[in-house]
Amino acid sequence: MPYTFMLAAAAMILLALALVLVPLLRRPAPPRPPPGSKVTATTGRWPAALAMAIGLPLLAVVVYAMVGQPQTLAGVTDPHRGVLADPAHGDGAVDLLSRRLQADDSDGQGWMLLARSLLQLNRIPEALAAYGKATALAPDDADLWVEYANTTAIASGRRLAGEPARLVAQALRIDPDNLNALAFAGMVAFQADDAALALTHWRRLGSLVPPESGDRQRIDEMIARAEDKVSAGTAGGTALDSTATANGTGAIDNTGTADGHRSGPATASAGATATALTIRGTVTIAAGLAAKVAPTDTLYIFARAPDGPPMPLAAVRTRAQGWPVSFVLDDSSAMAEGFALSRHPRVNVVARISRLGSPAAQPGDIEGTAENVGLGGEIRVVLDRIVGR
Amino acid sequence: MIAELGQVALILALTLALVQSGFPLSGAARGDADWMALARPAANAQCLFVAIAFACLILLLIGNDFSVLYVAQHSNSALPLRYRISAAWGGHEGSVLLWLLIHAGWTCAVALRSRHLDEVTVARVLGVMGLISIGFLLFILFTSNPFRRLLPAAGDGADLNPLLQDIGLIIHPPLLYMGYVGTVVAFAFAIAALLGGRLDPAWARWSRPWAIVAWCFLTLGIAMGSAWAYYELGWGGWWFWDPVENASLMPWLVSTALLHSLAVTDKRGAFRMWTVLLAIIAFALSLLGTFLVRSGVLTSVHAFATDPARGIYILGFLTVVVGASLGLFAWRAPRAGPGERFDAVSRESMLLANNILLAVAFMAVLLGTLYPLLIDALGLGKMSVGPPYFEAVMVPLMAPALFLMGVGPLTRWRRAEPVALVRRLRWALATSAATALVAPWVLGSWKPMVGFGLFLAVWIVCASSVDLLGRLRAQQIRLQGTGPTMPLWRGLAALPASYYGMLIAHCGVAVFIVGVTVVKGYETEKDVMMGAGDSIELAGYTFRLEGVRPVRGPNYLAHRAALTVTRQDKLVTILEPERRVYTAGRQPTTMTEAAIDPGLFRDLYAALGDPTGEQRWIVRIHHKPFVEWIWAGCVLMALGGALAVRGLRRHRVRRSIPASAPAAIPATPATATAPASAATALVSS
Repeated sequence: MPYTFMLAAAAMILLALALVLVPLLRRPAPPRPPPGSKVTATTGRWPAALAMAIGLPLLAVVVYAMVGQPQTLAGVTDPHRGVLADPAHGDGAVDLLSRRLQADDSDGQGWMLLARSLLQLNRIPEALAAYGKATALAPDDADLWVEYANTTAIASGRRLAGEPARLVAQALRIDPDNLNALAFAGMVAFQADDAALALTHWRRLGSLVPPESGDRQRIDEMIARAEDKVSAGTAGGTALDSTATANGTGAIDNTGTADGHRSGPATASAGATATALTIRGTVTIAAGLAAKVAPTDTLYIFARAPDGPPMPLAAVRTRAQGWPVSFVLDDSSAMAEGFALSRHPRVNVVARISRLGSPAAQPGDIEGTAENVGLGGEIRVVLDRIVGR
Repeated sequence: MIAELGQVALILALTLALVQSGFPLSGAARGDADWMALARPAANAQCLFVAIAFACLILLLIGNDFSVLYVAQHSNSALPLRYRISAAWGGHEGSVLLWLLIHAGWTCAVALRSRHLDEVTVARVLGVMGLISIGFLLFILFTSNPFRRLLPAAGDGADLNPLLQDIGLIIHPPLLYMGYVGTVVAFAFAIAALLGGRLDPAWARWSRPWAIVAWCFLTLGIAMGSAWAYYELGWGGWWFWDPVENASLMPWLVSTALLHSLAVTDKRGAFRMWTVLLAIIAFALSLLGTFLVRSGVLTSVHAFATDPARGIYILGFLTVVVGASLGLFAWRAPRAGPGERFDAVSRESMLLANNILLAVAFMAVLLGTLYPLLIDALGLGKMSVGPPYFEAVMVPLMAPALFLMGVGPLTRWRRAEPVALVRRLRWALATSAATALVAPWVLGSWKPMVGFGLFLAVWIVCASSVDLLGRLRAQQIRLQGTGPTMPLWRGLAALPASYYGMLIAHCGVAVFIVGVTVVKGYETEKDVMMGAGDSIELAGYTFRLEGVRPVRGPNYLAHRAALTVTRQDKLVTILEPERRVYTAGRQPTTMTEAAIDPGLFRDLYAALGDPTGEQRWIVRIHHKPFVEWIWAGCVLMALGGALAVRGLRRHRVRRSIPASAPAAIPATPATATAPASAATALVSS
């Protein structure tokens, strides 16, 4: 624990004590009360002072031990680094994690955290080893494969051919719609002078990113450059700046998720587990409310984590007509990277008819909810209430 | 390190809150003056440390420290500075911290402004407030830590809920919390009185100004929230009977009853147990409101937090506080003794009726708010209780209360002559009835509900005027023979400020009723698809869509429409509603930003909806007559409250001069019938 923190905390404790002890001890001694008075002579001054002088710091330390995160003090001196340890203060936390994982190497999340921290600390060979472990333990995490590819590219002097290309291809096999993988694969192709393939990847990427997204402009620029190159038919041309890959995990900055996970599992799961990771069902409307629905209204059906951010994990959009409307929610209908239905064993499913066609609830929208639904189930949602404010 | 120090500050605030309640309360019980004297320094120190914690959170938000979970969840580097600061109360943890800060602020204010009170009362009041602090400090430390670290840190934050990125939401929560949390002072005084076993009028006199100040903030906070909903949600509504709104309305109704009941207890010594009970209920409701909003049992824009652990904690805390208070009440209240007697027609009986009506109205709102939750919790299905229920219940309950608002101030304490009362008010009644019949015609068409609403509004104003004139005349009569006749302005200036406070607050209610009635009766709206160059007519105004152009904000992209509004070919205004897409979060969020041309007699309101094709947009246009009167009325009510507090303080200073020992509670004046003291005693009921 850094000394500055300990000093500051100690100063605060002293201040707290001073603020109560000084007025107590400087109080003028009360006059002797007349006999029989209800107010007795002061007897409690020194016991109270002593109790506070001992009890207050002690209690503060005990509570801090219960709720504090002293281990973070070493690590988070620079808010923008976002790593477990700061090089200036030694790599204590990272080494601690590393030792823990040596003892028990079955913790995929731990390896992922270690790999990312090592990458931030620029300890590339160790980061590569950690990514190797992490991908072995979580082979279905496309984002992780992209990060692995990215780290390999850094290790090989930003050359994308070879190992990075192989790793990102693995990510695309797992999830053909993974945004980071598509961005990265496009760069691999672009660097290998296969602008046509790069264009295919990036166009696919462009179709998956909403037009309002902040990344869209960069994607459009990349597409334009690839198109130029294809139409010019020249090999070489202007090399696309591949430093973007080194900074993060490709074109899509996925660091801003609400729950802080830099990336989540694959957004589209394929294979045998798929059925277990879907929610199927029908939406019907309460009799009294059916008249309020216009055929042009939009019906949104989405799933939310009961204890997570309000952002949906998966959503589908359809016309509010032809009751009952059946739907399937799965990872392919995920709204964003890192928010996958399959990660949450139980979710709340909400159906909402929007007048304005807006996904955010507006007063007057008609809503229905099925709460605490398990994956793999069949459910029925009834639209039965009007959204207030 | 700022986050860790913020947490340490909260922990120290907890230890100080323990000192603040433990020593003074036991000191008061065993008569130890030193222990009791610890209340003030501990309260001030607790306030300081909560303020340090709050400052830490603000610093983290300003500094974009995304290694702190709260900052990563509720802020973003692209967010303008003022919203980065207001993000401090944009999420659950920060809201709880704001709650604590405001509670600590109220505690500190009581500590500083209670020099005229005896040590035992101060020790008990601050001790009780310290107990509440402990409850909320434990809540924040163990379930809602705003300083929790996020490892590895996020590169950027998830952005503040775009709905909250508005100046109204910078001010609304602190104002509302000032009111919510302010109910704790009257509660603490009531509990202190129960603990001391002295349910005399003294506690009512002391807590009255506090209750009024809290009520003013609550009024303004609710009005602000309603105004925010009006211009930010793009729907043109100003009250939705949403559970979160009801959660603030219920303490308001009970606080309003409490103000009136406190006046009776203070002046006449009556309603003693009832007043204590109201003080307990008002605070319990502010805790209930906190539970409803913070536990996530409701799904609405206010209830961002969803975590059962928190809900269970607050519910447990609520149960303990209410249970203990009511237990104490049941034990001590029988000692209160009977208050002064009063007749069936008297100021007391009018205020009793007012109290009962407000209490029943509160229970009706409570039922409508909790019933759907209960049905849901019992697994009996989903239901929603909406505006039809509340309107059907509130109108018949509030109408007699509003009618009495005109009569009450004119009625004498203890006993009044019904016949004389009717005679004094006959012109007010006739004027109101005439207005009710004529005014709706002038406004457009005759509608019974509009007529009824306007009748009540005019009735309140007319009856208040009769009262004012009566008081001036009484002054003249009293002074006759003592010198030259007093000029009118001197007569007006001689009436106490608290009387004007009451008058203004009551007229505020009248203004509010006019707003509600007229806007409900005559508002018009159109929902149309428009392309550039299209125009539509509404309420005599022509709205022409000139075009829609893209605009880039700091953290959003927007389409901004330009609508020129003309009336009889004269340009009235240009409305520029926006449809914004906030891009900083992972999922782009669409928001409407309504454009409003406010006016004394009407608002023109435009909201831009979705595009429906090439260059065509859904545009929603409202004409809202007198809508601003709703909030103007609320502001007048709060202003009246502020004046009343001022008057009470002066009054108190005057009264406390002869009473050199404030601890010895002055006996309730048995008959305050001498004309001079009657004039002062009649103020601000």
